Amino acid sequence: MRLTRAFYLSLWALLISGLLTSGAMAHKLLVAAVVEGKNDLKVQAFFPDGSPAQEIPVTVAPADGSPPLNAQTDTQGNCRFSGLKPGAYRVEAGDPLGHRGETKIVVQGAAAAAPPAPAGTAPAAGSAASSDAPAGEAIPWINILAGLGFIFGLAAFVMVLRLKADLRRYASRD
Amino acid sequence: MHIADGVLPLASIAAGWVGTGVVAGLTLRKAPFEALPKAAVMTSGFFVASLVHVPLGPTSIHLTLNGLVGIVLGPLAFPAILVGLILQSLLFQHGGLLTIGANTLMLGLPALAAYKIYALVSRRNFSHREAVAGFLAGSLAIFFSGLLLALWLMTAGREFLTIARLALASCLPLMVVEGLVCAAAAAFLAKVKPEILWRKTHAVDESVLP
Repeated sequence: MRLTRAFYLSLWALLISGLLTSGAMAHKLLVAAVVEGKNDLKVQAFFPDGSPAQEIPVTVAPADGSPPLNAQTDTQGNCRFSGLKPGAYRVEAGDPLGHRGETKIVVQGAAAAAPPAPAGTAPAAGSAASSDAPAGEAIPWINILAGLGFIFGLAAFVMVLRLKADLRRYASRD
Repeated sequence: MHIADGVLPLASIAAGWVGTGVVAGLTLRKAPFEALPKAAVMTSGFFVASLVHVPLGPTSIHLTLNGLVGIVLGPLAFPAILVGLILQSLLFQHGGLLTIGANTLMLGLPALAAYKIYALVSRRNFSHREAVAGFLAGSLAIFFSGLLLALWLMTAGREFLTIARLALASCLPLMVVEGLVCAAAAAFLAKVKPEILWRKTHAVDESVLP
């Protein structure tokens, strides 16, 4: 009976805490940037499941060493920078809990172009422009299999080494 | 709950690696060879659990499972978490490569604490002690991880109390979820295969703890 009560209390605590907290409990932060119009920059910051990184600082630093521009994302994880000069920029966003994401983009003035983001880290700039809500990351099955293979391979390797040492010890006894 | 590269100062990164090296060395020194397959399974669980998103109201949380790793692997939890974090960093880009040391201390030390909490509480004589001990171990591991996160970020010039409050508020749902997962796992394992839990296997030899 006591355990049942504790279970229901836990469920309530879970529900209430879920409603009160923001989506900051993530493993990493993704940043997508796209040039809109001639020289306006739209930046989206979001977590791997697609939830927006709300009200976090974003810095756009020109590659030529000029002073960086600062802004803050809105509740949708978006922010805009207007009137950028043509050139390369590093876009960086970081939340207060130590997550940080960055991407690079080139503003070409009349014709806008952005290098594609690295695979698996952020959506391509073009897709970010066409959709307001960024899609979450796909499950990296290959990487999961690679990781599991490494872990069990490492364990097997250590076990074989140990077995070899044991066999050598037994052999030396005879 | 992974600190990215470029957040911590160089001194903190170095301290993280030194601390991780020392604790990993201490925990591996007397590691029983027989626990290796179990360690591989738990490392795999820890490695993959970070990809499990649990939608919760307007947000979503991510399992960490350092408490569960602690109660199953005891002192071996620390090197298991180190391996898991290296792979998460390389394959999922969770956290940074340079901050693996700091991240391992942040998640590994609470895993050792979780084992101690579990061992202390489950030793008492009351009903459902395994579940209660598991819940406390799982949820407090996340709580301590949140505090350590705030401590690390304090070294980057951020205000401890502000970050700690934010980290613990974010951790709150995860504390409950991980507590329930640990409670269910501990109660189930204690009933069907108690030797999987570190305390049951190594009840006599406590000297392996650092």
